[in-house]
Formats: sequence, structure tokens, C-alpha cells
Amino acid sequence: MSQHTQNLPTVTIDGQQVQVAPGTTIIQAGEQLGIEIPHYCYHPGLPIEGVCRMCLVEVEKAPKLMIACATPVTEGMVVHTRTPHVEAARRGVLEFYLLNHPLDCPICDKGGECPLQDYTMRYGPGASRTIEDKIHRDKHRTIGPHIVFDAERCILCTRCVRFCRDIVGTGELGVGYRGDRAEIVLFPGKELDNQYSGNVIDLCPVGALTSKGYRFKSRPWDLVKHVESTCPACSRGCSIVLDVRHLREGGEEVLRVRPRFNPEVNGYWMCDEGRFDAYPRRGQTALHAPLVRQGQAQVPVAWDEAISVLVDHLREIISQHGPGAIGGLLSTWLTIEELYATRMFLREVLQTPHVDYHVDPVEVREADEGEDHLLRRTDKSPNTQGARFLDIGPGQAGLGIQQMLQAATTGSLKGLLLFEVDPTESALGEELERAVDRLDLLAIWTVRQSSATSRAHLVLPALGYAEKEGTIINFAGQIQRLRKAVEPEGKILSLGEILGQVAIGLHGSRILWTPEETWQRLAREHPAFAEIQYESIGPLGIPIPDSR
Amino acid sequence: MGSSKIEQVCFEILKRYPQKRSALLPLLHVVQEERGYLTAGALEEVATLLEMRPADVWETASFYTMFHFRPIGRCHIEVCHNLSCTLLGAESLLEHLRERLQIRDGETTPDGRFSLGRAECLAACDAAPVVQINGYHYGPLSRTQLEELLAAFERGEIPQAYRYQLRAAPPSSRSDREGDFEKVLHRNLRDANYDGSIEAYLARGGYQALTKALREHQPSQIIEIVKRSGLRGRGGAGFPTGVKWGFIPQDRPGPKYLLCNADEGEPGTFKDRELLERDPHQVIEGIIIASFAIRAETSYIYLRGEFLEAVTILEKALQEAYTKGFLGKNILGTGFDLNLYLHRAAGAYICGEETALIESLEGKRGEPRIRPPFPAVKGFYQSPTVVNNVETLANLPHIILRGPEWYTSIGTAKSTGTRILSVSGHVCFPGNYEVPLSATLRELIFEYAGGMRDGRKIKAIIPGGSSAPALTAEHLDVGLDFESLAAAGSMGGSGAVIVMDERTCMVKVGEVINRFYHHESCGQCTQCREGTAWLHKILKRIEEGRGRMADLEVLTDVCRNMQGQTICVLSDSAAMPTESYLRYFREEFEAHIQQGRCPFSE
Repeated sequence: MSQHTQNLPTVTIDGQQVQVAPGTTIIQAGEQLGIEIPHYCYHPGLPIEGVCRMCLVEVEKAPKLMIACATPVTEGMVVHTRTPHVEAARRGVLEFYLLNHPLDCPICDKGGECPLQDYTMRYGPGASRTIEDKIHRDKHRTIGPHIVFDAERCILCTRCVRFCRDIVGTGELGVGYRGDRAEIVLFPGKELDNQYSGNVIDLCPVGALTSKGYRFKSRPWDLVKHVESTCPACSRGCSIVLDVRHLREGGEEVLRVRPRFNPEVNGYWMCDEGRFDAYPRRGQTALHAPLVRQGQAQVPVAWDEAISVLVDHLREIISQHGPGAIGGLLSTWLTIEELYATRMFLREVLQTPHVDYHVDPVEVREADEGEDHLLRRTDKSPNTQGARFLDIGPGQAGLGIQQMLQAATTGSLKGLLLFEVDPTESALGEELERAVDRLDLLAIWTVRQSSATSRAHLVLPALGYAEKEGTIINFAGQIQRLRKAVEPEGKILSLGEILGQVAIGLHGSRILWTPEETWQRLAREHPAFAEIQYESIGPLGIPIPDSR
Repeated sequence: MGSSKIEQVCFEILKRYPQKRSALLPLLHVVQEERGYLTAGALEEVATLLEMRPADVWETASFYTMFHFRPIGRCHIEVCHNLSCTLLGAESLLEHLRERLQIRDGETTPDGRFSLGRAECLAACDAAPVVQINGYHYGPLSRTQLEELLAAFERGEIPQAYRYQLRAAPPSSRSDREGDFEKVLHRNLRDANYDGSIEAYLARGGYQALTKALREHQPSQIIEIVKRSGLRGRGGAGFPTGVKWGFIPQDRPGPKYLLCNADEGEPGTFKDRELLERDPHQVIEGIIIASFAIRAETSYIYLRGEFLEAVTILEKALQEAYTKGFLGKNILGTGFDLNLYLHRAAGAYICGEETALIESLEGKRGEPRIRPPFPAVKGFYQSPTVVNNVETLANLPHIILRGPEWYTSIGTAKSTGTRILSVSGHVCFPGNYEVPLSATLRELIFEYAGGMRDGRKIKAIIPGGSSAPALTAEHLDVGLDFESLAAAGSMGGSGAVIVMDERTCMVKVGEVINRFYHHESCGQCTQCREGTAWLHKILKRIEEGRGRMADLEVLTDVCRNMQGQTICVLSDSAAMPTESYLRYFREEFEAHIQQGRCPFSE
């Protein structure tokens, strides 16, 4: 035992000893030992409330049962969590909860992943002894843009109240009235509408607060995959879980997005934009095949054809005007691997120095600030740091974004490749509009069509964020992985694979495209990545060594 | 009242508190008085003034029963339906009113003239049955007398007849007799000529103890004296007062607070109210001494919201004390400063619990806090705080003047001094009686309170407020001290002695007191929120003749599951007496179930 740990209190829970940091509560010490102490109001990310009384445990020498959530361990404390006294108390609490609970579990979203169900199975009474009428309250009341409230199911743990008050700071919720009339309330006429409101869905230990969008869509056991990934909605990169279900008509979809605890990045939370908007928008591609312009129309073609069209165009431009007539714009939505491979393609395969990145949709490159005290960042793309670390930018005598567009307008740039850059969302749109008629090739990789893609000679479907593997670097330098959660609809080739085939088409040479290969090269070429292997980037990510 | 007027009042109220949100209940009272009820707009206005979130204002306002969010009738009649009043005919008054006004409880007549409601114990149990009309308390009332009052209110009067505050001292069979035990706390107020003014108080030696305390003692010496006196809290728990003060960290900079708990609400208790209304300076002097002892420079009297008339009395008394230099800066030239403010609550029994009181004083819902930390370490706005009951504080001037040895010579070794007991129910002379704690229940009931009405037999005695387990006639010789009552399986509690005769239905008693706890549970802890309601529902069902034998086992189990598991003891307070009724009167419960009716109803 080291000098340091000698001063730490040792607690014994159910016969197992553990040494813990001062101030550790019994419930936390229990977690360290893997001993479950059931609870409702306690949540590690919220202030202690101590009201559900579910976590009562027996502490030797204490006259009464103690709540494990609010009782700090002291040296030599001996705790019992499975004594008849404790079990009777738990049975009592659950019996009390169920007195007025509507037991509408068959149609409750929470059913199947509900602590009230789970604890009742594990610790509850086997039968109901009440014959009194249940109290009826508001059911399925929409209380905000994302949340539906069922007051009958609520067990008044106040997690949602504390979250809004103490974490977000907006405080829309309170507990109104008192006794068994007490209910979660909003001020009359007000809504639960803050940037983080969706977290109350995860926090709610029953089905009292449910997601307007997910409501009645699925049973938890229909969610066949829970994929640990990273949110792309801003440069924070919150750790998330993508809940996936199979579709009746075949294929699969991300039905639900939840935050995943990551103390280095997002704690327990995520914002509503990431939860409710990022995946429908960027998670799955809406294009099912490449489009090639034929006259005024764009027609779907097979990948082989699209790639040969691209190869032909590129070869044509290079042969007529030289490689300097081609430029490439990379979006900060691309992963590290995609950025790396794309730059390599532009610089080494096409041999053009005109490479730049575009922070999408934020205009000003260096302006990435905290949008609030919590998580949201003003840079609404996930990998600007990645582009910076890779030093994406024009090579010698290369053109930056603005210069490329000018060159296109004046006719000296003939081919423009936009890698997930969507000009319609930014000031680029107007400039591109002026340039587009003079371009011999406008090729756009994208997850969805827009007014800009309609002007392209070639539109190439890109994999959405739920459809690919890769890494991104958040604003603070944390490298995190994206995990593929669903198969794309239709056949979508990864960017690396496309570029590889184009390279073969142009020169018969292959370039790398797997993440593993990219990271091997990265580690050699960029000192920042020297220590890092792709496989070692765990579910919580790792910081870039020199970023702190 | 226009918004600017409210702003001005708000400005004045805010001066009393370290943080704005403490002004919430006082300000809501002001707005409601002016506008009749609280609209969402008014609540939002108050939120803006106090820089609070609207949801916080709403959750707090809705916790307290005195705030209305809908218009109420011009004549707002609330009949106390707690135990002492039910024993003496409250239900008959309610029935009469429902019939006469053709509305149900909680409703307003269509013409907006009358609203009918039920109130919990109004701390006027010696005048049971008591009715609160537009905030004024009347009792005891017959149907006819109630009619008289309604007619007067309809004429726009505030009738004086039957007013609780104007009643005479209880016509005790013993208390005024020569040779009776010397009154201490009741010394002044039992004198018919005593008006409670500062002149009257000074003429009887008032504020001499304060002078002595401030001039002759250090704060630590006063704590020592009070420890030696053995004085125990008179609010319910009986904790030694000097010891409680001793927990205040002496060396910590920053404010300390003394809060006078004048939220008397334990059913059957009406002693503090009399002390406040009839001899306010005795309490104020005690508060100043206690504040000096713990080095508090700001103190509050947290006054039960329903004590409308005490507001006027206390405000006048405080003004007098400031004028005479007993409050304010440099008190009696000793350099000690103290501001003492009156804070009016808004209807919540639980706020008598000290940590709930502190929360309430901070403008929040009256929800008890988890201890530790104890208020002495982190209390009002996280500063060291002592909360003392009115009667406890009223003892202090006497202890300082006459010494701790004198005090310990009264009562028993562990329960020193006198105690005021509020006697109500089926006795001849209900009232407050100050007795040495060495007296017995028999002496109290038969010698002071005049024995049982119509010579009936005693069935049950609740010796310490409705939370106390019941005793029976067998326990008449049990002493009134904390230890003897505990040994008999009950407790001294708040000092309310409710005496019930042989005609009383104990199932009904159980229903009434559990209705009360059901109504008053703050709702935080699961066992209490759900348990109080469940007990009430089962007992009501049995009383109405719809009980099942299995209910008795459920009742017993529920009582057990409600005890020793919650943040405060409200849950225990419902379960303990209920268990005692089942223990002593099980056959009455069984008779209800077997006969399918209440055997005591005509």
C-alpha cells in the first residue's frame, strides 16, 4: 500500500472491502465493488436529493437505515445491502410507488428498460395489496418541442427538475403542490424548451418523460444494436450511443440517439440538436446512387460508370490544362482518414497544390467558441481540429478557397472537387454560382442533394455519419471514433475506395483507404500522432499527446 | 394595487432579507391581499421583481395552502376539521354550510359571495369547533352562531362576537386558585388587566433579564447557563436548548441567525399563539437573549400564516422594542446589534420542522433538508442558524433573571421547568395550562381542565400533539415529563393533550389525523407521500363501513414501512399514532369491518 492510499477510508460492503477517496458515498463505493444499490433520485451527474429512499442500506452502529446516495463513507464503516431490514424497506418503497402508478407498461416507451420494472422484479413485492382508486393525472401532455409528459407515471424523483435547474440553468421545471398531489410542473403557459431538454428522457427512471419523436416507435428489445459512436453536430463530439432497429421493409435505421458518459468530453449529457437533428440530417445518406449530368438532367448511374466519368474528366482537364487546373475543397465533416486520403489523392495522384478545407457551416475558420456553459460549440462541424492537425491547406503556389473560386470564375480553374462541402449553406454558394458555368467539372460528394448539387456534373453519394468508420478530433484535441451503425441504403462506396479506384483509373496505382493504413502513415508523418494506433482509440477517445 | 406600488412594497420587504427570494411569501401575501388571488401574470411579475425563475415562484406558491390561484368568494369560510374540532362538532357545521350554500368544500357560490373550505388545526382548539372566516378565527360555534357571523360578514362587518382572540382565560378549576403553583410564562398574561404592551411588560420587570444578559454575561456564559438549566425545546423534539446553541461554530466569520419558530401547527397545540398574542414582549426578550448567546445579528419570527391577528400584535411589539432600544443598533449601550423581523408564512404544517422552516424562509417549498449538515453549521442561506420554539424562547428571560438552579428546582431531573400544555377535546375547561413537568396527566385533566364533560369516561388521551401515540385511562398517572411519557410508549411532543371520551370512534380519529398528515406531507419522500395517503384512504374506507379484515394487516405493515426511513419525521408522525390506535382499540376496527358501518354513528 502506497503512502497516498494509507489515509483513504476503507469501507466494507456486504463483506467486500474497498478503499475510496474521501467524500465518496456508500452508493459510489458500492459501484466500485460492483454491488448494486438500487436508486431512483440519485444520478451521478446531478446534485443529491435523497428523496426516493430506495437506496436505504444498513450501516453498522447507525440507529436507522441510511440513504447510500447521501452518506459519505468513513474509515471502518461496515455496510450491508441485502439484510432483511433493507429488503423490507425496498419492498416498501416499491409497493408505495406502485400504489398510484398506472401500470400501463404495455404501451409505455420505457417498458423493457425501466428501473421501476427492473427493481420491482428484483426487489419488489410479488403482489399488490391496494384496492384504493389510483390518482388520475395528466397523461401524454406535450410540454415542449421534444418532450411528452405523463404525470401518472412520474415517481417524483426530481431528476428532470434538477437537470434543468442545476445543469442547464434554465429551470423550466419544478415540483408543484405537495404530498400525493405533488407533480412536476412548468410555469403556466411555458414550455420545456432548452438546448438540452432531451436529456430528461434518459434521466427519467420511468416513462413519465418520453421523446416526441421516438414515442410508440419501438420496443427497447427491437433495438438490435447499440453502437458507441461520436456526435457530429458540433466540434464538441459528444460520446453517444446509436440505437438501431431493423426495418420491416428491410434495412435498418438509427432510431434513437443517446449520450454516453465521457468525463473528458460531455459528461452525461448531449444537446438536442445532436440528439434529434444530426442523425436524420447527416446520419444516413439520402442518395442511393451516383448522379451524372446529361444535358439539363442528372441521371443515376452505376458506380463503375460514375468513376469512369470522373476519371475521364480529370484526365481530360489534366491533359489540356495541367494538374493546376484542378482544385479540391475538403469539408470539416470528413474524418481524419478521409481528409488524409483526399489530400493525398489531390496532391499525389492529381498532383495539384490547390487544396483547402472549409469549415461547414461556420464561415469564420478560427471562431470556435463555447456556445454556452455546457457543451455546445459554435463550430457546427465535427472535425475542424482534424483538418488543422493534418495541416490541410494549399501546397506550394497552391490556391486557397477564395482564390480557387476566383480562378474558376476567370476560367483558369477547370475542375472543382467538393468533398462534402455544401456551398448552399454558406457564402460560397454565390461565388460558386458565378463560377459554375465556366467549370468543365464540378464533382460533389455529399450525403444529400441540395441546390448546389443540382448544378454538378457529377454527384457522388457519401456515407453518412452512422454509416462509416473513422476518427475525428474535437475542439479540445480528443481523438474519437465514429462507428458504423447501419448499412447504407443502396450501394455507397466509401470516399477512400472511390479515390482509390480513380487513382487506379488514372495511373494504375493504388492509394490507401482503410483507417488502419491511414493511421500507420499518420504516425510516421505527423509527430502529434506518433504514439497513436487506430485500435488503441477506445470508446472514450484519447487526447492528442501535444494538444494539452 | 398597481405594479409600481407593489415594487415599492417589495423594496421595503427586501431590506429584511439577505437574499431576494426570501421575500417571496411576504410579497405574494401583499399581492393576493390587493388582488384577491394570484394570476399567472402576477406570479410572473413577482418573479421579475425577485429575480427568480417563474417555475420556482410557481412551485413555491403552489406548495402553500393560503395562496389562491382562482377567485374566491367575498366571504371565505373555512371550517377546521382536525381532531379537536371534529370531536366537538365540526362536521355538523360543515354539513350545515354545504346545505345552506349549496356548494361543496372547495367551491364558491355562483354569485361569488361565499367560498367554503376546510382548514387544518387553527391552533384555537380550546374554542372548538373553530371556523376561520376571511382570516379571522371564531369559536366555539353552533350553527345558529355561525349564521349570525355570516350575516355580519355579509354586511361588511368584522364581527367581534365569538372572536377567538377576545376570549377570556380558561376558567380552570385550579389555575387561579390560591396556593397553586407559581406561573412563570403565564404570569403576566393570566392577569386580566395585562394588555401585552411594552409599558405593561416593563412595569412587571420586563427586559431586566435582557439588561442582565447583555451587561453581565458573555454569550458563552449564557449558553452555559441555559445548558445548566436543562431547558429542553418545547416545539416537539425536546432537544436541550443550550446544547443546540453550543453547536454554533463560534470562530467562524459571517452571519449567524436565530429563527423563532412560531409556526405552531401540531394539531391540538395552541400555547405559542397565546404567548405571542398576549405577551409578545416575553417572547421578543427571549429572542434577543438567544440571539446574543449565539451572536446572531439578524433574527426572524417565522409566524404561522393563519395567525393574522398576531401579525398586528407582533408588529406593534417589535416597533415598541425598537423604540425603547431593545432592538436595533447598540442595544442598551452594549454594542450588540440585532434586527428582528416578522416573517409571515402561508399555510404548511411541515414548515414547523426546522429545516423546512429554513427552506421556507428562503422562499422555497417547505421541504425538510437532509441532515447533516445541521442548521447550526449550515442553516439559513448556509449560515449557522438556531431554530427555537416560541415557548422555549419565552423561558429564557426567567432563567437569566432567576438562575438555572431555580429552573432545575421545578419539574423532574431530566425535564426541568414548567411546560404549557394545551388541553382540548372532551374536557370541561379546555385551555392552556402551565404546569411543572412533575405533574401527571390526571392532575392536568382533572384538576386543571376540570375533568370530563358530563362526567363521561376517558377512552383515549393523545398527550403530545396528534403525532403522539395514544394513551388510555390506564395511563392517567403517567408524568408529563418527556421521560415518563416516552416510557409509557408515547411522547411529550408539542404539549398538546387531546382527551377523548368513551363515545369517540377511534377509527374516525385515525381517519382524521391521517387526513391531516396526508394533506400536510410535503411529498418529497416516497414513504411519506404515498404512505400518508394510503393510511388515510384505508381508514376512511373502514370508517365508512367498507373495510376488510386484510386491511388491518396492511395498515400495520404500512405503518412499519413508514417509520425511520424518511428525511423528517412527518411520516413517523402519521404511523406511530395509527399503530397505537390499532394496538389499543383493535376491536373497534374489527367491529367496523364486521358490521359494515361505524358502530358509533347514530
